[in-house]
Amino acid sequence: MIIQALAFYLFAAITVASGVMVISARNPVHSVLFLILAFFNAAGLFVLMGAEFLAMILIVVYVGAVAVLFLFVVMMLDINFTELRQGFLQYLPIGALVGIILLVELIAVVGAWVVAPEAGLATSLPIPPPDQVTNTQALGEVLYTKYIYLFQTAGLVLLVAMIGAIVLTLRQREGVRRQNIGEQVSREATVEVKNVPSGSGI
Amino acid sequence: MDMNAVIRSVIASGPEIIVIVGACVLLMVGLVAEKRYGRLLVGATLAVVIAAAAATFALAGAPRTAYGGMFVIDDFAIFFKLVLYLATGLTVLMSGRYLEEEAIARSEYYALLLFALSGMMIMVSGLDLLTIYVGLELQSLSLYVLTGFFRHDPRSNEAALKYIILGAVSSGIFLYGLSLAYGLTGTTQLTDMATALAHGRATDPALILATIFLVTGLIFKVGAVPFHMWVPDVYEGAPTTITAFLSVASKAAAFAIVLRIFLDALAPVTEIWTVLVAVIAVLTIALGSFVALVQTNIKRMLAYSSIAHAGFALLGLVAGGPDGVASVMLYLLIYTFMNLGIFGTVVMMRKGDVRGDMIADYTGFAKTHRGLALLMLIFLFSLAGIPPTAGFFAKFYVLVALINQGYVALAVIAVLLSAVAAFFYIRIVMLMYMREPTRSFDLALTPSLRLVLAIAGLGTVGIGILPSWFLDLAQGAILTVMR
Repeated sequence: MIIQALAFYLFAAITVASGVMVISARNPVHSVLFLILAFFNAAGLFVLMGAEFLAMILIVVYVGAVAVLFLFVVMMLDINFTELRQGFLQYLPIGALVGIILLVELIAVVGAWVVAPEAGLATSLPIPPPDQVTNTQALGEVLYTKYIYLFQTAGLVLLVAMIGAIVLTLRQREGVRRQNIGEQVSREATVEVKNVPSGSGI
Repeated sequence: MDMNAVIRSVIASGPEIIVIVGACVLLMVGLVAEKRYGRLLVGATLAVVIAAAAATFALAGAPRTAYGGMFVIDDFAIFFKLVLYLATGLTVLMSGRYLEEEAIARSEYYALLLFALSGMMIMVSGLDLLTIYVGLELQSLSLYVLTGFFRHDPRSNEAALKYIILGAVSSGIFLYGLSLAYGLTGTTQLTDMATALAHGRATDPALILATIFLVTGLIFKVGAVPFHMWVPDVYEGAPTTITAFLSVASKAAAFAIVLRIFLDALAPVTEIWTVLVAVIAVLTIALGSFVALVQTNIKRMLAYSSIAHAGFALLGLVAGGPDGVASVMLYLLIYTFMNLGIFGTVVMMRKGDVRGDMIADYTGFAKTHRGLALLMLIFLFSLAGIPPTAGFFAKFYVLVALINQGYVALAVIAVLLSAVAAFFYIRIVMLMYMREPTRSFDLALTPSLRLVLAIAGLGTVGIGILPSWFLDLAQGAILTVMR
């Protein structure tokens, strides 16, 4: 029990600290690296909760794909980050005002929130006990039956995003010497058959 | 789920499946059909829309739910789906020649249009906040891409970028409201939510905050004040056919989910949102009408006009009850006809080097093209709400519903503001009829564009002649819970 608690506080503290570093680091590449650290520790927290599937997904998808993509974007695009920060102070008062109003509202809401006594029972019922079914299987059982409609539609959203990215960025440039194997091996264009009269040459 | 339930669910969502499969097939057909491009793709898209419409008609009857109560096919959904098919079909008919003039004729255009249509159909049939949200994202994402379809035009790029950023923010706000509502009721299913909220106190701060977030997210999608900023820029920058599609189909789908969420799930807590929506509606009509007065670009002017019309339709929601819902539904049907008609006349002006999207481009149009000018006059009078066109009855039934519910002051304000709005529509009529032409008109009129104008004209005049028949149609299709 004590080891679990220690692990929890370790992961949680590093997650929060690296989260702070993400927004305060001067160098954007450092920000992304701290983001990756935050993802790893969040995955650790998931493991502690017994959600090993989510932990693996977090590492595979977020660390393996999303964060690396961020790194590429940060390194390949020539963005002047000091210029981007110019407007920061100018918009700070109005942004802070909106943020504070929202915070006050949320505190008012959470303060007045009453959980119905039977609510805890309702949520604990549909979950099968962890020693009978792993949570990967449990997720799969509802994802492909109860939520199949949402699952498929979410897939379509991704398909449209992919089509959109290709439509908006793919262009056929003039003067690109792309290898066309079909053209290269075809005899039609490169080999010419001549009827040579005997004794005279071409 | 047993096998029968699976089959029932698949059949119930047949029209969506047809549209999605059609979109995927079109994507592939586009790769091989390079040569005979335009006509084939337009024909194929229309065939998909017609097949989906036939499937929808076949499903008419007693309301049925599918996919564990996430999806519903009732008269309300069928009415809105038919409006969406109409809008998509007319947009596709308008597109062929316009895309060639703009040199953006690509098969993905039609595929994305069908994906947007499927997203809207999912929204309209959604009986669960999650389904509605996923459908909303599917249609928005397709529309973001279509808005930016002029890749080399900075205005189009700016429009797409503004649309996607503001759209993402509004989706975030909507999701936040959704999660709070889920926390309060323990469900995202609309009818269960209404049952859970039946004992809800309207003074509960969490409930108020959830409702406000949901209102904000939805108001953005219909383009009402104070979340209207994206509308003029997006409408101006997008290809004109897409602007037409956005202004009618996207708006109709957004209103369908607004009606479903507010009058089904949030019906028990009406007192929280009625005043809010009433204030938003009045501000929307006022801003749309006054700012449209000073526009010189016709697409921008129509953008502000669509803001004003959205405000008017919101008043029908404020009235509530069967009459209010029916008036909003009829309003959207009429708006589809007249707005697609007027956008058809904007599309035909685009030819060669002429952009044709300035109001001044129509100077003296009636002197050379009598018939088309008369058609434009009908559309503009209808948008202004002058009898005996359909636009008059659209506004009339909303006002009747308002007055029956005792909102006389709101009705008076709405009438006064629509008098302001009449000015900028009639100014175009004045330019067409009273001025001498400054240039010769070279129109990109194809047979299919003529067909669009004819259908839109017929709808605008026809509903104006037989308004009660169409009102009965809308009243027969109101939400099941309101009966």
